[in-house]
Amino acid sequence: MANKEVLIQVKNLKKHFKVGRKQILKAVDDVSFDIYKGETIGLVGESGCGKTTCGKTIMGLYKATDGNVLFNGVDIHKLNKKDKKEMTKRSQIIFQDPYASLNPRMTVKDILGEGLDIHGMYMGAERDAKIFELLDLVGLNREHISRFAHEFSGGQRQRIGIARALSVEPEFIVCDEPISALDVSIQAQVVNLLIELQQKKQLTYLFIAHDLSMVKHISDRVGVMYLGNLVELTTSDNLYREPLHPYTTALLSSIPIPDPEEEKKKKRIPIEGEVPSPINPKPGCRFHQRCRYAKPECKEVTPMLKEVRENHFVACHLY
Amino acid sequence: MGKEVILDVKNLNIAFQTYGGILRAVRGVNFNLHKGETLAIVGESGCGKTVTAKSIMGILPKDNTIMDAKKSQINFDGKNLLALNEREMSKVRGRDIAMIFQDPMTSLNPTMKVGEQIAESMYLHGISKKEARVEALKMLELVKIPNAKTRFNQYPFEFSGGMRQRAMIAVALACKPKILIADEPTTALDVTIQAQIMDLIGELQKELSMGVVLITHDLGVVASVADRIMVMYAGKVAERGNKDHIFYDLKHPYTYALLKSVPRLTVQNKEKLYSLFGTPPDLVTPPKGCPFAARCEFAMKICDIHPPERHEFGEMHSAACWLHDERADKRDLPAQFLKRGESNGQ
Amino acid sequence: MSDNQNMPITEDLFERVGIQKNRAEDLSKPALTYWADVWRRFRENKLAFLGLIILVLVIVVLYLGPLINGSDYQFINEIDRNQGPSMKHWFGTDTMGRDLFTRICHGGRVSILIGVMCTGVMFVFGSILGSIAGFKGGVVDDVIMRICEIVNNIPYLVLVIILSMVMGRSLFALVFAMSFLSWTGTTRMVRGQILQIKELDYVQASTALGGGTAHIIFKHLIPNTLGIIMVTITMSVPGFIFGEAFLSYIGLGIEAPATSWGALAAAGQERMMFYPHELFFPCLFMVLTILSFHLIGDGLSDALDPKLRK
Repeated sequence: MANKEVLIQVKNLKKHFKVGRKQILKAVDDVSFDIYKGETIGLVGESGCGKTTCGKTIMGLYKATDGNVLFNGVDIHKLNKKDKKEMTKRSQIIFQDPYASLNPRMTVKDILGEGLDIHGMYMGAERDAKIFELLDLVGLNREHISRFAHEFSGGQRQRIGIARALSVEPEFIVCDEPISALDVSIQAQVVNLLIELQQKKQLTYLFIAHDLSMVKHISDRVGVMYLGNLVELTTSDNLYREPLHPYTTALLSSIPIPDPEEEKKKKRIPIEGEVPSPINPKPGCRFHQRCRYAKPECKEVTPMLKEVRENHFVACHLY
Repeated sequence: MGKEVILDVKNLNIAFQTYGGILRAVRGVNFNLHKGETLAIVGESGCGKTVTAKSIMGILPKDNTIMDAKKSQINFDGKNLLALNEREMSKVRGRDIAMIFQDPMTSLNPTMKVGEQIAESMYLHGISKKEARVEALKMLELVKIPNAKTRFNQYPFEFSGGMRQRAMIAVALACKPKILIADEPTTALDVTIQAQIMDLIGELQKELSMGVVLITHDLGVVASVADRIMVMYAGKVAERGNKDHIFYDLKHPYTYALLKSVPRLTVQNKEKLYSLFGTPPDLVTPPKGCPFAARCEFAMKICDIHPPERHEFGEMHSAACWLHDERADKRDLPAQFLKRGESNGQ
Repeated sequence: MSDNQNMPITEDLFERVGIQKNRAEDLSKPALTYWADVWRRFRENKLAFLGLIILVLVIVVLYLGPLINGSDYQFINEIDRNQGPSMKHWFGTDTMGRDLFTRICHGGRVSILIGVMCTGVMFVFGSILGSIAGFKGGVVDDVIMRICEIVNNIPYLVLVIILSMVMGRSLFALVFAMSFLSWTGTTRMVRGQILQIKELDYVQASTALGGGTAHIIFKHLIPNTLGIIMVTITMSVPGFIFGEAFLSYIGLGIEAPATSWGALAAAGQERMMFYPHELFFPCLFMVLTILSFHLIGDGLSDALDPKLRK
């Protein structure tokens, strides 16, 4: 469980992309929150909400357009080349697509050894020993070391990806939808593995997903994103017992429950319309066009994320 | 059940010629579909559900598919679809049986206006171009695409993911088919859009009295829309029944494992999830006995040697598992396995 | 649907065994590396394989032929001039009595060498430049692309003439002149490929692990574009062979006493009406070689196409 020491501070983070001549895609637009050491913080939202961009910017793969990301007090986007390389050992990432995340020309040995070679960690016999250790950690057969990525199933590839992230001994891992592309029974395998590794290696996770049930299971706290903004942030129990933001409520009611009786009892709150584009967004609350509680205020003023109950933050004019 | 059977699949066996050998994708599958009902085919990747769906539509690759139309039958409208030639099959496709796919991005022609694509499937089946355009516009409105008149002349890239899926549904339903096959129609969509699309399919099904075959691995979706469910594993049918049977009265260890693997919102935080060990077997050299034996916690010696017999548990509920044999070791089985079906159980 | 099970079903078979871990998870297909799979598919393509055989045969003849024959390609023998094919001179002789077969062998070595060396330069230069342009993007990409466009617009023949006037017509000079302007196509193609794969997760993963630009280009990008590059390379060699032949025709090809198929064809063309064999044999070899490269290139392209994979 999390001891309240802060590992990462995200402050007013913005990540914008230029698309076309005058269009700016505001993928992440002023997001602030802290990540505590040893916790798993979930980040949910639908496509286009910016959660993946947020995760990649926090671990340094993307450069922030504005705002800061402080890792143990150090701004990771203002590092020189050498320190930046050092930083990659602390913050790692696991990707969504098990088929695109492994180089088809490399054997398992090459894939797991790449990080070790780049940082000059472990040479010779020690290197081989380390690679075997990684395979054991993720539950893969040592004999498979000379096989190529395409010979493995989706779940096994994902485990190779996890082993790769662990190879440089990081403290923090961004899990970018690591189970979305996997079958249901394999998802459980991978999630169990991630939880086990967190305890073994004292890892901190940012778990990005759109499958809310899985996120609730693995996370201590959960943040909900909509169109580049963080609209709600609280413990995972709170989020499901007492969702405050209208988007969160609608999102939760849309999840189909694998239990016919429960499904019938569930009152679904339909959201009409489509998610508007994150390119050149209009002022005000990003959700107001689809919100049943919208007030005139919502169209003009962007609500700020504030603590309305204990450890429960919402960005909404209803509170 | 009383309703008319519109599709009857008997002893479906499909194999593919690959460089590694003959891959037996579907091995002896039987099922039927009634008018107006939704049959969900559930299973994980490689279980054969998509191959089954494609075989109904007759769109499996001709050069390496191995199939015997004398031994296997897909009976629709008095004909065995497997025995039809391409010309006859193309009359059925689109008009009587339609299919929608997972990825709307690749199933719509990016260089053709959306309205035209809907109209195309109509004039391929004999409706005049002028009339087809009028009907196509009506279809766009039927699938609830706002500003249908403007959208008619737009291209797929101008549509969002959810809207493209709606457009694909419009194309599929343009000729008011009797059966709609939906292959993972919402897997690539966000949860809120998914709910909208499943609602839409449900409404259209009622309006057109269509039979729907829904291929999916999402048990949540199944719980809300399916009437009957068929659980497939490694090319065979593990269990078949209606919604209540499968969720509350299940009889097959694979069904059990599947349901247990899905996290509920009530599960304790970070508690170890039930997970199935291993992966489905290779179908080039499939196991001789039950395909699930190696991963089954209740497996017995016989499971590896002989393929299990099918046991009936009441109205249209059956499972293929040795655990239901009288001689089986019944210790520690899940409670549902031991319950007997209501009407005429064994 | 029963398998051939002859074992009777007895009570003891219903004993529980549970999960069998060693059988629940194994990799079935034998380990086939990417290239082994490509080779397998290539072999199955009859035409492509034929092309490969023809090429191998031609090269064997070019290098072993004169050893068997024993003639000297430079030996001038006024008495035997312009003779047709015979037992002594397999392809006949040319206007100076030199054995045509041996001349074709030596000329072939030059032609193919030019083809391969020019292609080599084009490949190395083009892929490195294209990788940098594609991966770095931004200003670097713009600069490289503009240079490409400028080089592309320089008239080929003019430059070759100037270069040969300056550098002479040795093998080295010819290779330099021909490849000087040849790399732009490769650069653009490689850049295009790189643009497609650089956003792939495994490339991002390498960046996340701390990999620098050079590391990513050589370890990830180029190996994964090799397939496409190979096809272009195979198709480029005949282009260069033909290019040199063309230069020979206008008098700018390889300088005597060295010879090439182009030079031989050019010489043979003058006496075509009287001694057709002097034109026929060089052309025959050129055609066979160029054809074989094209067949191989086509076959490779199909073998590499993931959609045609069974």
